Amino acid sequence: MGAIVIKIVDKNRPDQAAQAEGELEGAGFKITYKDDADIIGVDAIKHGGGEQTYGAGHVIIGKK
Amino acid sequence: MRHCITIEIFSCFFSFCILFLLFGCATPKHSNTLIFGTNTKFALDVSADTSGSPSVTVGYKRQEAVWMPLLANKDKEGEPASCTEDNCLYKGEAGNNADTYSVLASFGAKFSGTGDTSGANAEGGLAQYFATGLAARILAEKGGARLVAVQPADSELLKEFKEKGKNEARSRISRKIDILASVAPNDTLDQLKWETLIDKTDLEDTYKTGLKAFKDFNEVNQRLDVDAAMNGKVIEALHKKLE
Repeated sequence: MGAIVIKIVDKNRPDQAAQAEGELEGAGFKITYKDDADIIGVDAIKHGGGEQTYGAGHVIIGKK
Repeated sequence: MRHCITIEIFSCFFSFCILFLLFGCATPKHSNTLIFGTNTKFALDVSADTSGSPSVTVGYKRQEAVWMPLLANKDKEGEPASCTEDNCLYKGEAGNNADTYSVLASFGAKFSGTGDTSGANAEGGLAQYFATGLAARILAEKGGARLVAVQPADSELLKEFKEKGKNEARSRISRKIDILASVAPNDTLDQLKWETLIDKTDLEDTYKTGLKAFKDFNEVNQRLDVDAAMNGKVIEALHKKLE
C-alpha cells in the first residue's frame, strides 16, 4: 500500500496551499483531493513560536 | 514610510498625523495617536438586453478608520509605555534604517460580467488590508500587496510558492537518498546502522521509537518520502548525523 499524506493549511492563505501542493509533488506524490473543509475540531495548531487557532482549513491529500 | 496606492477600480488611501496640528512645536513633540483611514467604492452593472430581463447591479461602499495609539503597552492592562518629553520618539527600525511609523494599505479587486438573451452573470472579488509598524515594512518588502490581492489560482505568485515547495521537497529527497545510501546499501536495510543513526539524532523519543520499528528498505523509504512531503524534520535530523 502506498503512502498517503494529508496537509491542512490556512484556508485564507493561498500561498501556503500552493507551497503545500509543491511539497507534495516535489516529493513524488500525486494530489488526489483538495478542498475546503471545516476542521474546527482541530482547534489549536502549533505555529512557529506560539499556537494559532484555525477555524477552517484547506485540505490537500497526496498519494503515492 | 507612506504609500498611496490606486489599483484597478478605485482605491483611495490617506494617512495623516494630527500631531503637528494639535501641538505644533510645543512639547511633547508627538501625540500618542495615529489616524489612518481608507475609502473604497466600486460599481458593476451588467445588462443582458434592452427588454430589461437579465440585469445585475452590484454596489459597494466601504469606509474604515483607525485611531491608533502609538506607544506600546507596558503591561497586559493596556497601560501605555511611559516616556519623557525628550524620548517620545515613534519610529520603525530595521537594521540601520529608521523611519516614521510605517503604515501600508493595499486594495485589490477583480470583476467580470457576461450577458446574453439567456441570462447574465457577474463575478467579483475583493481583497483589502492594511498593516502598521513592522508588519507594514515586512509586507512592503516581501510583496504582501501582491499576495493579498485577488488573484486566480494560476497566478504567477502562486506558481512561485508552488515551485518553492517543490524545490524544498526535492532537496529533502536528495538528502533522503544520502541517508538510504548509508543505512540501506543495495536496497537492503542495515538495521544496526539505521538504529545507530536514529540514536545519534536529537529527535524526540516517540519519533525514535517509531522509526526503529521500520524493518526493511521499503518501509524506511516510504517513511522518509512522507517526511519529505511534510516538513523534512526526520530527514534533516538523520542527515545531520551522517558520517
